[in-house]
Amino acid sequence: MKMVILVTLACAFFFSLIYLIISAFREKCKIEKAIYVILTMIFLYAPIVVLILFSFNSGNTRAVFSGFSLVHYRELGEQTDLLNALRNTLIVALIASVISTLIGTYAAFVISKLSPFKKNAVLKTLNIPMLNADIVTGISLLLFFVFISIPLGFVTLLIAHVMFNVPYVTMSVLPKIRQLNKSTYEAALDLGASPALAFRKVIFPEILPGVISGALLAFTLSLDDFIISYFTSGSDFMTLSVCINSMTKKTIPLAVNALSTLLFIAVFIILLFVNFKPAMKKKKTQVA
Amino acid sequence: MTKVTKVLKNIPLYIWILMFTIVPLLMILVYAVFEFRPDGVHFTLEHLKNVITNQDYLRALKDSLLYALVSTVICLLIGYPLAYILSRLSDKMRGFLSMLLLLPMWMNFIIRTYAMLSLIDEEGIVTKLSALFGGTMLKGTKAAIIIGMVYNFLPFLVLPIYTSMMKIDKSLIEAAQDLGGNSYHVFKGVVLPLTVPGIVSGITMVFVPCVTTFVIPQLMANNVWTIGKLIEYKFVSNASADGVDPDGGALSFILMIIVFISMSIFNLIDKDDESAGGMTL
Repeated sequence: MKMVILVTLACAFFFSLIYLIISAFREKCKIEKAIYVILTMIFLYAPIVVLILFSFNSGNTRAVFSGFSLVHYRELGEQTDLLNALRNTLIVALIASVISTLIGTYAAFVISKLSPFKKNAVLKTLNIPMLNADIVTGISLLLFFVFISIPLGFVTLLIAHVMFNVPYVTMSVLPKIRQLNKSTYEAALDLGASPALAFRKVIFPEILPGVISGALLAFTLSLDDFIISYFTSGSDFMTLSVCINSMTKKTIPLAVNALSTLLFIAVFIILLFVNFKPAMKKKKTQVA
Repeated sequence: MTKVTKVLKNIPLYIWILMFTIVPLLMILVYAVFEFRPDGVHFTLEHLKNVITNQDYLRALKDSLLYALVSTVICLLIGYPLAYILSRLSDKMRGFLSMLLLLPMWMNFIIRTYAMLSLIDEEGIVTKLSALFGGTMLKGTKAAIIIGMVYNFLPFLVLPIYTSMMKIDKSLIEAAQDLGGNSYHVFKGVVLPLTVPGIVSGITMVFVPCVTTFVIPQLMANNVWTIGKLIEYKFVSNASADGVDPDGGALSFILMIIVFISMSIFNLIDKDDESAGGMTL
């Protein structure tokens, strides 16, 4: 019975999706285009849908769907490896994003005051980890840590994450510094504010949006990273992606599907929020 | 502010860049040409020579470039029309579909690859369906690697192209239509040239990760060796306790060179196009 409901729900979801996409093209009546989009979306989503479906499997294999159950979600509580890895990932992402935001913002201030030639040179070198292939960055850091003989673990992982996050923060703060109006800062000084107070009251609020978006970017990049973490984390301290990768050597427990489903839902909600909040705001101002 | 304090304020940044960007990259060169043995450090070009003459390494190198090339072309063939269709939709629909396109990118790379793998391995639905028609399992074949690459990196190609399409001034298209161009002429004369920067950055976003990936060949077809997988093998799976495998260092150096060369080629194409675009406009 549950199975029937689930399949009906899945079908309903798919058909409503298909209907939505078709209706998008109706104004030009290009049915071929709609089919094209649907096919590519099926290609992109079929693996994810199957992954989610089997997280509700009452059986233990991905071979047969033997019935609907939440048993793998309950199992998640016993998967200490996965939960530890999830905790590690969050800790590293949090600390790395805070440190890289501080360093990246500082770097943006230094760079903004350099002469054009120096600015170009410093930016180009700072951005290398942003453009370079992850595996090259990962190996270079691994060799660096081996060379100065720091044992791989939490510290090396954290350094690596801060290192690849810094340029992203700098790049999102730099435009804000460029837009700063110098005279408001000078006006604050003329009115008797100390440089520190003037910075806090005048400059800081102006650059804050850039700093926040840089910090968020750093946080998500840290959460999502696999390759650099893989080379710099060693065997004792695992992040979630490294842990799941090590599980692929054996049969993967369906608890991984359950965890992935939860993460997918979390991302989905965040993206919905981010995408539709501006629209809602716009509507509100229109009403007002 | 005196000049000295100004310079002092900048120094930590230079140290940071030197320590964590330049020195690690130099380490790849160091480990490619130096051997660290208990009896001391030896300079040798033996391993670099070995890497570019050893048949196994050369085949892995050739395969990596080939898989990356095929995957990039397929991504472009699938992705360009998709970006084109998306860019011409109504605002609301476009927001919805571009979010659908973004959503998989926010999932972890490993989870995505595992999801694709679970469709095409022994227990996978695709395998079972194809078995009904007498087909064989995809896992372990070259096609599986290509599928894995296209699946993982397609959104990274669509997005820059889509962005460059959105930037096209609508009046240019209208002008071309007014001048009597049919949709083919409009596409070839206006849309395609103006999206070249998007195409180039999209290709870079797909080609470089495809050349360097080790996860996709490892999961999809473990009998195939690519340069990324060789490096992973030398440094992690088969790492020795007493130091770095010298061939691994040399291989990383070659890979770094490949990455830099492909980046500068794409950079060059992009620059050329910008100046050309400026001339015609």
